[in-house]
Amino acid sequence: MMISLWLLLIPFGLLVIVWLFLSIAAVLKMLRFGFLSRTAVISTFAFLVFSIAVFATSIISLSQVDWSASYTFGTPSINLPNVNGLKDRIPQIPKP
Amino acid sequence: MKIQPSIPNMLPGEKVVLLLHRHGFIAFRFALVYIFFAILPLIGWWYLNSNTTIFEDPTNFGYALVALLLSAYALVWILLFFITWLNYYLDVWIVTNERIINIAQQRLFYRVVSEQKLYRVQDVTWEMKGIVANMFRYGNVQVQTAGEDDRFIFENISQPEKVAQAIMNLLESIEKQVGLDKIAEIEGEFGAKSAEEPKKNNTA
Repeated sequence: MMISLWLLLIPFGLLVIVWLFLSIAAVLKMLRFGFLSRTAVISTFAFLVFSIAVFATSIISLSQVDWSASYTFGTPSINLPNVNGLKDRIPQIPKP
Repeated sequence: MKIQPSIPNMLPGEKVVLLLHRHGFIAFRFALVYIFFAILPLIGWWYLNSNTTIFEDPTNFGYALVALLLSAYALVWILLFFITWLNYYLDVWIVTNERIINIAQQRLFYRVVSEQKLYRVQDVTWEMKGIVANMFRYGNVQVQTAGEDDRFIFENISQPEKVAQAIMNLLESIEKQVGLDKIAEIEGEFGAKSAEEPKKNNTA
């Protein structure tokens, strides 16, 4: 079975969308109900900084991948053209 | 123990006396769990790096898969850490000169706010249970109010004995201001039979 590498990005993209939704909700909740105290603001800022760092690292490492490539699982089936009847002349190994 | 100048929905003339969170050791405990889960992928990365050639060729399938999994793991880890911190930090008990407010942040989208008038408080009990709690001086304060089952529990707060004392001092000052007869009258209105449940607001 052959799959394209970019297919792996689909679940990752879905995860990022859910992540963004929950992150925005969490940040808004912290700022709204955290009385805008110093701890609430600093922890929100730290979360945003670390998230950006994780995103940047991910983008750098993922950008090195050739996403147009394909990968074959299991034994590959080779269909060579039968040029000059060469395929017919391959000696058959007798089955035991 | 932290004192804040203002709280939302403040009544006229109301002053915040105590704003309490759980003790820092509770936060430290969950931080330890998250640190453990932060180390796990590093061990995996070290193992793969020393035993395989995945990281030598960034164009192969293994590298792409590992990079995606590590990125997803890091994103989920940081989000869960922040949400757990949020649940810890937004769990607040506020004592003002008029009322006690219990704000329980159960989950990200589940928040319960209960409040009780201070003059309805009948009994205040504090406890420090266990070696660790005694070592770090944290525990519970139970505030019993006029209703049969109306009880506020300040869980795992720092220096519970001082908090209980502060609430008792507030009650004494209310008694002095209003007078014991008036308190008895008010308590009569809120007798055990007609006692209302504490006002609860669920907000997402």
